[in-house]
Amino acid sequence: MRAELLSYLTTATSTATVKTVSELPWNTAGEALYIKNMKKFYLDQEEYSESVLIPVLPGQNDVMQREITVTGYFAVDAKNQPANLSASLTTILGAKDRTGIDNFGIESDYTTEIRDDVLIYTVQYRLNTTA
Amino acid sequence: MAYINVSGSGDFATLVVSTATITSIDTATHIVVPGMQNITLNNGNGVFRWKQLDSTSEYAIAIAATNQVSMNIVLDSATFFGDGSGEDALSRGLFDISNDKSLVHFRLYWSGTGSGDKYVSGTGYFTGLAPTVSADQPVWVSPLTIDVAGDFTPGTV
Repeated sequence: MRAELLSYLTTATSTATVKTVSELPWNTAGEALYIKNMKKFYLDQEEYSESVLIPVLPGQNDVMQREITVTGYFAVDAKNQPANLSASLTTILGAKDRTGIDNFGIESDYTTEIRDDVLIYTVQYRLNTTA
Repeated sequence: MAYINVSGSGDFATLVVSTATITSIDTATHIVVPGMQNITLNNGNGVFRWKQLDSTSEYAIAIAATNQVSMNIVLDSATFFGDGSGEDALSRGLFDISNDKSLVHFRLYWSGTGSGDKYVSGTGYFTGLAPTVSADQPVWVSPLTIDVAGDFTPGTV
């Protein structure tokens, strides 16, 4: 799912206040890239978890549910928030509907955290599919 | 004593249905029902009760039983629709057999299908097929009942 989100968001945010970059949100000198490079949206690696959706008798194949989670980060100046931030958030959250991946439920939401004078947005995408 | 365990390899509960008499599992013509969530064999003996003035308790006598095999299954396209290539059960599929109200032969293996394993067999009709799917469970599932015509017949492979 990360590749699909990245593909869509790279284009969709190319002229937006918060732009999407392809790098992972790794740390440099103890500081996360998204704090060092504010107004850049970084998507982390996707995470998988599988659980039984419909159990069947032993010897047959359970129907499995796979949840794919991708977390993204960006930061802005908490004192002087950029204009059109809400438009960027709408685009970023709406990317969940542009992955083209078969699913039976896909969600996106974000949380915020203020660290010193930086406002950090943590965006999470969750997609359910059968496996 | 040995509990009937269906979790071990070779000990699985297995239901085979056919439109012809079953003497052994023929995977080319029989339906080995896949995706069973559960299965219940119901040997519902009937009882006639009456009261007598000379007794403070009812009397009872066994009468004809209502026999059923009921289950819930996850629908598998190949066995539900068949491929239409012939008149055997596998070609026709569960839906066509139910829709045509065809007589089916069945064998329910309790714990494995190997030599010495136990089964019950019989004939009956599919009833209660009711496929359903929902937003949070995007795979078709359905209850299915075989209303048995006559007795169950126990046997050993």
